[in-house]
Amino acid sequence: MARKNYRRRLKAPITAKKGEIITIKTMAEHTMEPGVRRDPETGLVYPRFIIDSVIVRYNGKQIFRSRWYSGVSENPYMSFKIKVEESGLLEVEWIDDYKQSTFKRSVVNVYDDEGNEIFPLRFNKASQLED
Amino acid sequence: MKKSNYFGKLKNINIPLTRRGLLVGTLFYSLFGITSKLYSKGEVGGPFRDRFQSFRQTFRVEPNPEEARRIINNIFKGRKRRDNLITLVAPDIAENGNVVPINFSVNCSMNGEDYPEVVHILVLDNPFPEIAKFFFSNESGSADLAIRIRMRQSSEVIAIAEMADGTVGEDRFFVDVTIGACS
Repeated sequence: MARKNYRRRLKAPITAKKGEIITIKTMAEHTMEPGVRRDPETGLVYPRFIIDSVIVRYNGKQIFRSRWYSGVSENPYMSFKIKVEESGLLEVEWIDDYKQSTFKRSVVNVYDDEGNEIFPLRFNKASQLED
Repeated sequence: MKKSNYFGKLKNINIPLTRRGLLVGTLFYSLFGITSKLYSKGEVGGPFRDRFQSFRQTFRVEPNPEEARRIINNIFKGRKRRDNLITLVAPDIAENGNVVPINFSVNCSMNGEDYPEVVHILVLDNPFPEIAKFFFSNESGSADLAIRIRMRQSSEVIAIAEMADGTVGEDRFFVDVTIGACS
């Protein structure tokens, strides 16, 4: 397996507003051998070697998943949308036919209308703890 | 407790009609139920959902429209199709069958049960008609997606949305392919 089969790309906005629907563009450089192609000289079929599934997590929670078969084109590009309520870590994971997984991460900072960042962790104040 | 004791007890399980027997029986039945549910959804790889897709391919396969129709019927299961649920956009003429950009969008509010659990993409005249499945959730803001697919010859692309509340919708688009891919 060549080195190029491991290169992944992920494009997501760095900042977003609360409740905004953002588009995420992903691309994996992969040959996606469909398992139907023959060698023109020997007539042997190249064995199937494709990206099997793609999993998307936001702050560790799985929000989107897809199963691919041999019909997806080589260097598969996919763009989809997610809704963000708080800033967090976006992870996209590509898993091979041979169960080799690769992933790419990016951080999205989410701000409210006043310009304050909304953090995924909410710390309880001392006054709240007393109640 | 000694380990040997524990395994010794496990060795001779002859399930009598006692409290323990009932418990063991219910456990096994529940496990069976879970697996059968997974099979019906096509997660594990059901009996004939995919043409040899679960095995590594070593021989050439020709397109089979009957098989494709059977796959589609297996998704719908006799349910009535809802109108204007999903819209599929693809080019009228694709010069290269290796890269055919398509995108679909499901018009629904992604709240409660009004979201698509699964969206299938199928091309009928491909040797493997099933191309991709997309599993959405409430957190994904809108079921709007773009992807590039392979097509061997000019045929219909079908997108089927299975909603969480059990309703189904489909959209078809005929794409003319000049140079086909060998997929």
